[in-house]
Amino acid sequence: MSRSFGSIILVVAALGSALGCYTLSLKVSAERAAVDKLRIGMVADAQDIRMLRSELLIRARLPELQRWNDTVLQLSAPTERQFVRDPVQLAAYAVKPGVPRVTLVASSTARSVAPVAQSVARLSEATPTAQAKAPAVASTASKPAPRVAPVQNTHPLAAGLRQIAFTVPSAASARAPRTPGLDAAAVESIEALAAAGSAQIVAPKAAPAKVAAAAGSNAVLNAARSPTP
Amino acid sequence: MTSAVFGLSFGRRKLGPGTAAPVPGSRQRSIDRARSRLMTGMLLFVIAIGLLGLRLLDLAVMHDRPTLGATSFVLHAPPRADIVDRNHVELARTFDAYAVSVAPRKLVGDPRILARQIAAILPDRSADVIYAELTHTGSFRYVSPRVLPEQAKRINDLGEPAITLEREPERLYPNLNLAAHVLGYTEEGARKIAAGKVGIERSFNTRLTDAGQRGTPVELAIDVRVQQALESELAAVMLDQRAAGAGGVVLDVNTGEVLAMTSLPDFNPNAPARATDEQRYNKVTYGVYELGSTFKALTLAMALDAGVINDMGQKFDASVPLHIAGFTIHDDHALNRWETIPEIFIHSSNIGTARIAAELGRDRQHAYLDKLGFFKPVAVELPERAMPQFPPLSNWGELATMTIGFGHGLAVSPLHLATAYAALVNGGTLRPATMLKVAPGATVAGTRVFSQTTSDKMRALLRLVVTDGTGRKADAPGYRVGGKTGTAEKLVNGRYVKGANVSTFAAAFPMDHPRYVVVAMIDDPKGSKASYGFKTAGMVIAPTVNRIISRIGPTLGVNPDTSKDIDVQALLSQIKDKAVE
Repeated sequence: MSRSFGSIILVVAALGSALGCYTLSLKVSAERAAVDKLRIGMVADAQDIRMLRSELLIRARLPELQRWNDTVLQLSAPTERQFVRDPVQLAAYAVKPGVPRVTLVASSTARSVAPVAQSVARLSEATPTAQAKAPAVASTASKPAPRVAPVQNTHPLAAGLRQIAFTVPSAASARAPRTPGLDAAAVESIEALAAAGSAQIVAPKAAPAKVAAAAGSNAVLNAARSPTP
Repeated sequence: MTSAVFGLSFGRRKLGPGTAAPVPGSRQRSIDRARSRLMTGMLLFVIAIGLLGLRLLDLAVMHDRPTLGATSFVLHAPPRADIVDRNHVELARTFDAYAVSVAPRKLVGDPRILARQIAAILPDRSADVIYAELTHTGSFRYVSPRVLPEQAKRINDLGEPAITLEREPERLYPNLNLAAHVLGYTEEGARKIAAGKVGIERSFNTRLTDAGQRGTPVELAIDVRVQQALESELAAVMLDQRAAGAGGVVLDVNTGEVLAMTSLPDFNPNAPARATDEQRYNKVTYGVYELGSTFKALTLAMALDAGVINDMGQKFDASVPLHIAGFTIHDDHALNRWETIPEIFIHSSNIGTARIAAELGRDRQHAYLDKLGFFKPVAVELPERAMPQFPPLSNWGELATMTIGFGHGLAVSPLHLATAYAALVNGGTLRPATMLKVAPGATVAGTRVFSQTTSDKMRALLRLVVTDGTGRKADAPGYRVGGKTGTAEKLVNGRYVKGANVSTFAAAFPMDHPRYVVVAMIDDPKGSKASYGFKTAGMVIAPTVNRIISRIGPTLGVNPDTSKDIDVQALLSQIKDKAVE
């Protein structure tokens, strides 16, 4: 009797495990079908994207853009004068006639003076007018600086200012080149300084707080913005 | 009994008290029968299981996975790989287009009405043509091999069961004519997309259709921005000069990469059947021309390298025309005196160059030209390459040596000239031109043709031609352009055509550190107001090269800088008269 039950149990167990495996297999098949469906959908989407990109490429093809430029925009290749090597040269392009001489106020600390001297010296390389006077300015500036702060050789404004591309020729002469991060008033002051060929560095008696704020990457520009006595 | 019959037995059977004892012979037979049935059943099971096992083994080992998996993406890769430029801008791609086909024998509706309805949807197909397709005796005809999706939908809405819409792969060139001669095209017809016929499509056909690689695009050295600048400027001068054609190439001197190459008139590779033979003709690799005075730079380089010229102040007699073998060699801008090397070069003196070539000699000239690859088709991956035309060595006498010295008597392709100029300015190493992108920083092997010293001297001389010589109109400010003009009479069927020129300008920039060579040529310019009626290279094609360099320089990372230049003061001291353009 127990042997018969044993055999029945074996059969039931075998059937049960077979059924379980089959159910599992069905579930796996269902999951796999879902994944395949998803993949087919992805492939279809990828093909749709390709189609749309094809249309976009044709609509924005270079000969078509050229035709638009020739008939409407009339942009031309940038000339040599539209390229700048550094922000100081960029500033030198915006010199306007009739700008009064600028008296530059520097702080008592060498931290603000040293960059001024350095900047003026760099400016002198870019503009022939400033070239003759620059050494004198540099020496004047370095005199009241017994405590020499570390000079920053890298000018942060130089980044990304290598060129200006595709400016409308007619408008190019009227506009001063714009530089992100460069304060227009400060640029004008520096340019005026360069144009004048000399700068009068006055020992600070006022506005130490503003000069202190000048310490940092924009020390030159902030110092140039300080009120004249 | 039943269980014994089916070969199933759960334990030993027990005989009850009331059970009659079986007949001994009959019982034995039953047992034997049951055993044989049991064995048969077992055998069947074993065979079945064995078959299943074999099938499983077959599926696991011999076949790919039957379900859609990761490989499905590979299966859905385009049937032909894309072609992209060096910045991954697509130049050629494959997409599934709609095609309208018909099974004429299964047509249900009236073909005449149907033809009119379809013609109203497809304006480029006439009703008569469509009617002819609908009533064709064949079993399958294309009504239109390519239609727009909305047109396909409208045709489908007609409800004719014999008309079917099929998605078929089509080759598409999104920029139309741009770089058409470089890209080429495939066989026409949607079903023949696997066969490249011309250009890169042909030379890389195996790579483009390889199942393992077609998901990855082929990267060319072409830069579409440079290509567009070259094409538009050459097209403008061709129109202005009412010329028969034009061609140009921009080459990287250090890698040999072809950044742009064009031949005008060009064609639309999306519809190559509409193009004429003249439009399909690639002048830059398949055309060979006598490129005139641009060869003088090569002759001077050979003479400098071979030690024929030891000093830039060395003078050659150009005081009178040179008579040799019944021919007379004369100068267009004759100074009628002995000339120094810079003077010979900037005044483009034929007499002076001929005398230098004569001193160099036939054998050395031939050897240098051979090193430059001028006696075989240009080394590039395009299938359309022509054999240069040159005299046989037996007929290469002093006259041929002299005329070849200033660019006559030897016809090569403009790409030959570009690779030679690249060798001239890059330090003296000839590198084969390539249409494929070279990995940044990779070193390309080359053959040394000239010494570094020769190359340095030639750079200064080429710059001098642009600052003080015949190529002044090519002097794009700040780009330190150097180059040489070349105006040669057009050769048609072995005869020079009177009054028809091929004007060429071969340039390199920036000459203080050369990076690119630009060769531009114009076929039979007629002269215009812009060139003051002149047809010479200095007046016609040099201004075009100026504009091309101004456009492509910033794109290629060469910014204009007037504070830099190559030193030509030593050469200027050897010049008495400045050249006319």
